[in-house]
Amino acid sequence: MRRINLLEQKIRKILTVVGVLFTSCFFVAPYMVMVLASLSSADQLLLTPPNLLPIPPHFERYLAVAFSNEFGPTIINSLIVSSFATVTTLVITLPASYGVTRFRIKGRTSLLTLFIALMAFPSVGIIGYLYDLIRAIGLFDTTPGLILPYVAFNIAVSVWVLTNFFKAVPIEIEEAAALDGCSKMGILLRIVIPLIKPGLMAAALIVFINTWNEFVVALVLTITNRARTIPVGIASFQGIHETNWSETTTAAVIASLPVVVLAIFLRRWIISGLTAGAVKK
Amino acid sequence: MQSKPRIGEPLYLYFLPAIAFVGVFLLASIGDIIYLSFHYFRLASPLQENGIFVGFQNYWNLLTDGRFQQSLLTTVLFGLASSAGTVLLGLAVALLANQSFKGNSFYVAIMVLPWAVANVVAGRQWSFLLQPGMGLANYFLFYLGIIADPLKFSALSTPLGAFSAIVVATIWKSTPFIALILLAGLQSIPRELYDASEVDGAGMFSKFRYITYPLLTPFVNIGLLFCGLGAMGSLDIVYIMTNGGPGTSTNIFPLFLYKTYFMAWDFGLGGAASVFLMIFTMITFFFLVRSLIKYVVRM
Amino acid sequence: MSEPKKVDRRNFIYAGLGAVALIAIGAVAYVAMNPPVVTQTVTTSTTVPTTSVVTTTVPTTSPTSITIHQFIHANDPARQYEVAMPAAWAKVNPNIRVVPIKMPSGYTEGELLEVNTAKARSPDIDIFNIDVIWGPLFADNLWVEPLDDILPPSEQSKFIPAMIDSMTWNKHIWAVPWMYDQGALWYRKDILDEEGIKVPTVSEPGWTWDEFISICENLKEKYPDLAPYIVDQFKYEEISCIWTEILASNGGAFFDEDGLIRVNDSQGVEALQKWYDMVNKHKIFQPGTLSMQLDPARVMFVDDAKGIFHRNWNYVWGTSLEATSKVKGKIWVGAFPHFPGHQSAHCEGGWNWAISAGSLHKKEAKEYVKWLTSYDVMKAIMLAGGYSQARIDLYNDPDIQKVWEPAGVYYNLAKYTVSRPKHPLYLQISSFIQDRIHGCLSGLSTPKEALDGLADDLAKLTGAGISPLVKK
Repeated sequence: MRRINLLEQKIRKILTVVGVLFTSCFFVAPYMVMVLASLSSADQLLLTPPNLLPIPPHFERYLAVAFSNEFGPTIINSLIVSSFATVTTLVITLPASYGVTRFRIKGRTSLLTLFIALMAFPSVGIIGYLYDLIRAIGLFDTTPGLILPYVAFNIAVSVWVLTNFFKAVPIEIEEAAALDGCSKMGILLRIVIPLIKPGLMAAALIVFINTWNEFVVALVLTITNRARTIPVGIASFQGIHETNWSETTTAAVIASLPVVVLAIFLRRWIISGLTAGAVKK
Repeated sequence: MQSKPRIGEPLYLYFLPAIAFVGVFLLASIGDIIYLSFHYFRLASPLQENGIFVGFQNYWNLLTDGRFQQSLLTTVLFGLASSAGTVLLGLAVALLANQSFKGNSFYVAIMVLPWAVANVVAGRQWSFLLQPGMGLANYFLFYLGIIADPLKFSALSTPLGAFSAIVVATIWKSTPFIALILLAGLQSIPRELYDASEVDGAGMFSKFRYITYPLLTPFVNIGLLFCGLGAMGSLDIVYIMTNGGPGTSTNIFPLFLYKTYFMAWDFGLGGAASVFLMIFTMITFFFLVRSLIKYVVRM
Repeated sequence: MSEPKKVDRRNFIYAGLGAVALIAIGAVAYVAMNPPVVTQTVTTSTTVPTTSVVTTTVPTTSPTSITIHQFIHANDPARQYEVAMPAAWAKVNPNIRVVPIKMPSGYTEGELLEVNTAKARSPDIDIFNIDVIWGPLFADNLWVEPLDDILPPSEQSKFIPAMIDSMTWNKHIWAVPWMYDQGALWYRKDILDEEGIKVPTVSEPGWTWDEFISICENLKEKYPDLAPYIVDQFKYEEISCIWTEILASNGGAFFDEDGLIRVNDSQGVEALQKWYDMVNKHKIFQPGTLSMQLDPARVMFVDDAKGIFHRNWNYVWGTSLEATSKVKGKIWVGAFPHFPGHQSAHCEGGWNWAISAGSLHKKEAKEYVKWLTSYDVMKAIMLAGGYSQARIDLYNDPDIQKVWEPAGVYYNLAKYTVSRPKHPLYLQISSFIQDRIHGCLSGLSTPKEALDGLADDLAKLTGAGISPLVKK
């Protein structure tokens, strides 16, 4: 048995190394090309064959783009919109998913089906309606005008992610707490939510990224940099015929940085090692 | 034992905000879409009177449209290929990320990169990679000996090449999301199960087969579901990389829907297509959906 | 059980505080970057290769002033419409303040934005920026105002005829052309001079497609590293432009005089067959031509100098003078080939200013548009390095010819342009064209099949019948 374990360790190690290398290359390659393009002189990478090394590297472009009058405000707006949308979505869907998982109420299945059906929602058809609605409310070209629809769009996804994690929590813990006299909201807040931290972080990341990269709705519901978000800002680097590739790629890299940073930061929370091992007391 | 509602505890409050949001923003517009699908409404140059009730005429026109039929077939193939690829790769990535090795955090950061870029940007980058002469993918394939001339081979110019390209690009874009869900799922499997199985003499593969896979199944299911339901997202990627070309060989249904709305400006037909998309998706994923609901509802 | 509880709550509090702090910093930064100002100093950035730097101070606006909003293109060369023109206008009429709103220019998103705004008759926008192909759509739906008062027929004749025609619908004119774009044949003068090949200009009899093809094949042998003809034939609007040109160069058309469909008649099939042969039989295009888009193609011709002929629009000249260009002074522009017995055809492109029907300041918006499209203002824009403008006489003006050398060629070209089909649903027609033509070029159908299919599509969409010119 020891020998098998040793061989297995070796195989596992080799598989891990090879797998990590291959998948890393696959994931990084297009991104790396984008970063190189953002640092290169114009059109260097569009030549045949492409001139890959950015010499000299134009780091100052990042500052110029990030603090420019056109792109800078979109970064702020995106931060505001995505953060608020994420927090609001979580606050709304945590009780809803918990209820759907645990409460034995009539119409539970229908509710679940509704939330799944909403994920299949073709957002293309909603644009006209959304535009009219937001204008009627008076939130056109404002950040709340973006946050509210985004929350609505992400409720279904969030419910589904959280539901699965709630389900993984053993019922005995909650029963124990109920026996101790804890109210249902208390159970939810004090016991269950800490146990599903990986799911919470996953849901938060998902909603954040969905709203961060969303383009069509943002295009239609905003018109000035008062509320325009990053994807629309990136599209604004495109001229009728020419596109300033250096600036576009720089903006795209800047746009992706917060998400990467967030993922790294949240990684500790996701891989926190908390398990449902609290069953045995 | 299921938590029974205590008297006086307002359960509906748990659901009210969610349903309110969804109702105002989504359900009302679905109603609008369904209503329009039974009427004739074209924004320009209508052939009939705008706004008249036409029953199922829009649906009939849709189903008998050759482009629609081809688009449906293409979409099914595309959906199968990209979902399977995404889940498989996502599973592999999640398993890898779950190992403890030096640079684990770094790997997670890399893993998130495709997800961090917008769909439009991803489509554009892959488009560049696949250009003959200036794209690195060609040189890569050349060094692997797969193609003969990196300056001449153009993947996006042939139907099969274009289809493969959009599948690969979609897999690249969607894998991190699925991998993240699977990873969090892997993390929720108690270590004790693995330790206990080791005592019983289980090897790597047995552990996977008897512990990991069954406990991960609901997460895999939801991953597949997300892949399928997130089909609208691949619209940008296909639009930029091939715009449905060459000819109509990569004209997936979301693109067809987008063109019906914003090129034909036909809201009646678009409504019918949207309704069709929703029903089709629900039916396709019926079993998956049912097992998921059962999993949640089961006690 | 109690320990995790305390730790978790603290962590959440930290996260909450962090989020609040981040948002607070963001809010402060946002306010700092967008202070509510009364006076502004406006400068142009230096990312554009222009030697002029426009610096003006906009005077304080009086309380009775009116603000009008105008859609302009993003990435506007020399920032003429974004900065220079509103500033100059403020001196002419300080009571009308112009606020440019940038719209993304690529991939039809700009169109989506504008149509959505127009559909709602929103008062947010006063001046629309419409493509030549959107004219009938906006006019039919009465989203824009008729401009017969600021653009009477006497004035209309001074603009590019094809553009005026595109903006005329139901016996009114609905927009004022401002940006003039024209498809033309760019080529490497240095290489062709060496070979002794002379590219015809528009007014000359010109060469046929067969002559052009044999020239390209010879050049391909002599210069194996260069692509004879670089054209962006990705499946997008350009396909419709090129098809319009090739079809017209054989005397074909989409509709005949009675409005019946004739795109699949013998002239149409012959034209498509020739194009198909150029792609697949003679192979005179660059590798990957069916999936290459406009700017990469232009880079290949200008910055990489890897082509001999190149089909593109007006802006190529400006890019050839930049530092990245390898063909400075080596390129020139000429006429497309045609079929024997017919004329060469060049596709018209460009943009127009229209007044929104939902605007609350139509009179003021009209004033601004009239000023903006006057001869002197257009000349100033072109001299500063902005887009090529839509008045024909500008291209005969010696000042412009000094700054923009191909102006003389375009002066002649302006009268020989062809337009794409004029129809409110042109966008869908274009989508059909792209489907069928690109499919044929990729080898998925024969020219006859493709064009018959296109005729079917057009019949179903427009309700028009098939012309008797089409013989079965």
